Amino acid sequence: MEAALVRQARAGSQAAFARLVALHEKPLRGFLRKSGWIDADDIAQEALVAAWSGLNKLRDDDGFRGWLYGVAWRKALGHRRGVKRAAARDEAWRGEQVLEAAAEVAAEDRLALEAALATLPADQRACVTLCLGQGWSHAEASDALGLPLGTVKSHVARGRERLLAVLKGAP
Amino acid sequence: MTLDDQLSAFLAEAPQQSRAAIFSAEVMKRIERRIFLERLAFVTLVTAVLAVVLWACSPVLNLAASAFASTFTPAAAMLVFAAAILLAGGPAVWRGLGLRFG
Repeated sequence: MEAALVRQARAGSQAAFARLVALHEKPLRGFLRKSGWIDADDIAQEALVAAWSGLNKLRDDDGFRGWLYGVAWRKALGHRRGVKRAAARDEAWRGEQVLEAAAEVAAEDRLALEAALATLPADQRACVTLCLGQGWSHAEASDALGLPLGTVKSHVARGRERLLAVLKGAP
Repeated sequence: MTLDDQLSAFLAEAPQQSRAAIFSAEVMKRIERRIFLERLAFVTLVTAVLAVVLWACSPVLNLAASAFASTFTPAAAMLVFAAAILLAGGPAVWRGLGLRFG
């Protein structure tokens, strides 16, 4: 179904692309937020607009998700390196970017996990979020993030170990 | 629930639903703006190229215009008159003539 939407969007259908946006925006923004980017929504928007313009570069229509995340990841890295950053932020806007707290995680555990996640390197955070949070395979994450497969595996293993240690140690 | 399940639930947290529709609308608005600007740039380029071509051909066109001007003057006058009626009459006249615009 997604491949058909990609083909229609490539042919110029904005409605088809709007459906792709609706399918992917939430997990994409969640991934970027968990990976530590405060400007997650801005980056996700830029990535989706760039994806619209660059749909002709997508070789495999079924691989839209991985390709889109790759675009977003590169945008995110560019954002970090970029000089221009939005200095003043509207508090309401920031508030709307808050994630829905999972009911399965206690509030104090959540705070500890947030703090531990923030200490992980960006690549590791991204690998952990995609593979453990969104159920991606190591190979998919490797393709999307442009990292070697072995690096992704070790990032996931180390990140998981670190975060589980926090969960075990939390009161 | 295992610690792995809790960790997965934490890492899978997504933004609040209330913002989803606004976000999608913003993305599509930016895409529409980009499409508009691309079309505008294309039309501008074509117009510029056409202008240069006409300017380059202007000596020949001037000769042609002066040669045929006297022959086509009555026809041109009639066309201008018809166009003026169409414009002044508006959609009512267009419908009467079986024309449809927009």
